[in-house]
Amino acid sequence: MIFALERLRLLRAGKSLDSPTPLDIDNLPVDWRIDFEERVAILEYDGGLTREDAETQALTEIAERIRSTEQI
Amino acid sequence: MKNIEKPIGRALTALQALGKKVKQTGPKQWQAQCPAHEDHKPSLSVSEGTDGRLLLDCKAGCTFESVREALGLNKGEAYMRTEQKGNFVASYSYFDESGRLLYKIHRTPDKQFYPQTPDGKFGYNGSRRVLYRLPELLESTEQVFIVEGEKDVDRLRGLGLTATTNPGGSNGWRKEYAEPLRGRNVVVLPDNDEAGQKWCKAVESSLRGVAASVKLVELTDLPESGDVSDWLNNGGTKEKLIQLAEQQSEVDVLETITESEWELPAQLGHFDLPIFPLEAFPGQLCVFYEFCEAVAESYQVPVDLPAMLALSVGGASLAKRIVVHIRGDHWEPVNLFAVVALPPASRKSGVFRAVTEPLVLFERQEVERLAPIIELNRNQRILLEDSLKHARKQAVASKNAEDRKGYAEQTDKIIKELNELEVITSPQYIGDDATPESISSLLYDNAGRFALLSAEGDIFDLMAGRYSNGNPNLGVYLKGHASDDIRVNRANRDFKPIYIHKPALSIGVAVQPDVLRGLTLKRGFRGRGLLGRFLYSLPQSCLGHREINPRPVDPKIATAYQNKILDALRLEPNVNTDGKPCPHIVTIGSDTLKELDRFAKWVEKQLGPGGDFASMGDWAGKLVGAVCRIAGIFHGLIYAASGNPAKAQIDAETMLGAIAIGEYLIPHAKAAFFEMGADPEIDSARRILDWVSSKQKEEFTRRDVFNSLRGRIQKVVELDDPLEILTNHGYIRDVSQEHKGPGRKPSQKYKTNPLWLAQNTQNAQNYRADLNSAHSAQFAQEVAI
Repeated sequence: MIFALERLRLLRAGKSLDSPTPLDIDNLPVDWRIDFEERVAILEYDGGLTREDAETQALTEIAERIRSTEQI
Repeated sequence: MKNIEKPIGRALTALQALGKKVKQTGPKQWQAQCPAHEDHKPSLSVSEGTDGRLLLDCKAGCTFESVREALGLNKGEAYMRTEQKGNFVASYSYFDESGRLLYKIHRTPDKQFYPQTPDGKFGYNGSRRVLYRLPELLESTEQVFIVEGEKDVDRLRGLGLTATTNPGGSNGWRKEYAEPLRGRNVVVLPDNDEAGQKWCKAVESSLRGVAASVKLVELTDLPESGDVSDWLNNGGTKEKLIQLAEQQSEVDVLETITESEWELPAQLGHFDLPIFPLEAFPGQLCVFYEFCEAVAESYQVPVDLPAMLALSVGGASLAKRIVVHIRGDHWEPVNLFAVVALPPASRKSGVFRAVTEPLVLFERQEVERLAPIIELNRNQRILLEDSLKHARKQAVASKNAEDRKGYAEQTDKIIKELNELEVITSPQYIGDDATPESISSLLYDNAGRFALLSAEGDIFDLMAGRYSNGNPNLGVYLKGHASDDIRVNRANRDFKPIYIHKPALSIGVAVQPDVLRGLTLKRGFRGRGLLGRFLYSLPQSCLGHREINPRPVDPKIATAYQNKILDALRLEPNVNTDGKPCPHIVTIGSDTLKELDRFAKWVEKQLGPGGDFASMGDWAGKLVGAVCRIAGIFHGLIYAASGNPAKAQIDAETMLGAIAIGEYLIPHAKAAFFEMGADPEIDSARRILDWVSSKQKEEFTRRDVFNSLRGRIQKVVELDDPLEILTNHGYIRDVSQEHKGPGRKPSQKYKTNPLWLAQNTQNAQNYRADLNSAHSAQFAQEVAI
């Protein structure tokens, strides 16, 4: 996937398509979504982060992995 | 100063002192060059928890201790991931009979388990599931202890006992795990909880008639969810365990299964599918967003139905008027084949009427506009034909050669005029039911474009050769989609072949999900690429959640949508250098092409071996083309009113919107190919379920199933996998008695899940009630009209 919907939002927000694609967790494909949930749980349980912080951190990490895997 | 007292403060100070680059990436999050290795780019992520502890993660793979020490942190002040996937506390390797590593199961502190195959990918990735420590199990001849979890196996193994378990925990036992235990004396040690009891029943049931003996040892004095490791920790010993097993009598497995233990089965082939992304419509087509949303609301259908249909209608309206030039020799027409699967009584017909209304209106206007012209044309032809007859008679009746020659020349002249006279017929741009042969005629009569738009699934039967003794005639569909010239011999035109230059056939159908089932098995459908040409949508039905008095479609929105489609329909074709009509050639801007290339590159990667599309290359191989068609439709709809869509290039917004729809279509296509029986075992499992459900079978034998599927299944052995799939999903249970003594072994016997059977009966009744109410509503509407 190139996460076209997210890139479309980026474009509509007047930003350059060269900037990193902001990912929306609700629109992630199931596989990535599972990875995200799992990472949130680890960060919350093992890392001692609050749920909110764990979600923010997990999204950053997953987005980075998606970008490197999917080359977006 | 206060911050420096905290682990994060000390860690940041240490990093700065070591000359490492540090960047704050979010609240309580930092990215830094790792102090434990020569790091040229920041590999270390640092997060601060609410209790001040730090989560450290070096992506280069440094050990936790080395990073913690380099940062001068005390033990307990920091945690670190030990694996890419998570913080695993243990990993268990699973080997096959020959000792080859199949997969590892990693365990997190909170007892989550993650399989990983040797290629580093997480998941089983199609690898065969086997019992834990299988080679050792096969080598030993001792009594086997089956426990819940690898930790317990290793504990018992440490005591010199033979033990094993299954991957996937208490829900993961499979019938196939019984085979390596054939002829063995087995002791089952469940955990002290409900899940353990269920797991135990599954193990015992599969071992019936396979293992030499099965004993169940329920360890006493265990905490809730306690296991054999807890029992050993509390003073249990190897000798005591063996003694307990010896004292236990063999389990009568049949007694352990009771009706009350059934649970609703796991859904066969459940897909979590996305909703059609209406925001993918370009800003200048926001009316499509509003219209599809309004139609979905008014008819209480998923937005996917009007949206997919609107795309088909848009494509049909612009067919033969524009083509998209991608680069070099790569061109795409804009006609689409789209299919939406929804259950009966989903108000598909109403939606079809609403979305196709502009096409119907245009056709009616054209019929009226052309009526006098057609009449003139007909009159002209009759006159010429009469003149021809007269000239021929005169020629025959002539007494001298000169007169005869004169009439013959006159005859030739009339024939030439007749041949040059264009036959103008009443236009028919859309139809809902047409055989392949009539589609050819309609394409010819309508200058190469025609749309088949139907709320019924008959089209697939017609394609499969309903009226041609089951011989599929797919040529017109395949060529009509690809815009390849069609040559047809027609009986009603003096047997002269007709040529349709670059035809553009559009299809938009809504079918019941049942119609899709087994389509891959129809001759030529998959092999000749027909199914690969369709765009599929399998939205979730709204049945059971519909509003009784929804808001009707705002007439202003309907009119705005109608006008957009009418603009497209009224778009005059371009004219080539010979003065003949040809499509407007729409090109793609270079920045926009980058987005398409990015998508194409990703698709190509997935088409390779092991890729996501490896099993549906026929469909995915056309995905980029389909995206270009959608982009062309968007562009054409935006610029049709100007009369020259080629005056602008397809822009990035339009292309990204089209790609977003392409990305939406991917999981739907996967689900559709699953439904269509791309996997024959799943297809057979479904057929068994259909048969069980229709006959309301509470019990049945393997032989019964074979007889019911005779023709589709050639050998009884082909039922093994489908029946196992159904058993593993909880639809049925094997209740065969152990066969002792002489004589032929009786056919395996199965019991149907009573909860599923009852629910299915209820659903069937609801469907019928819904159908009846829909028919009543339709009748009431007709009476009112």
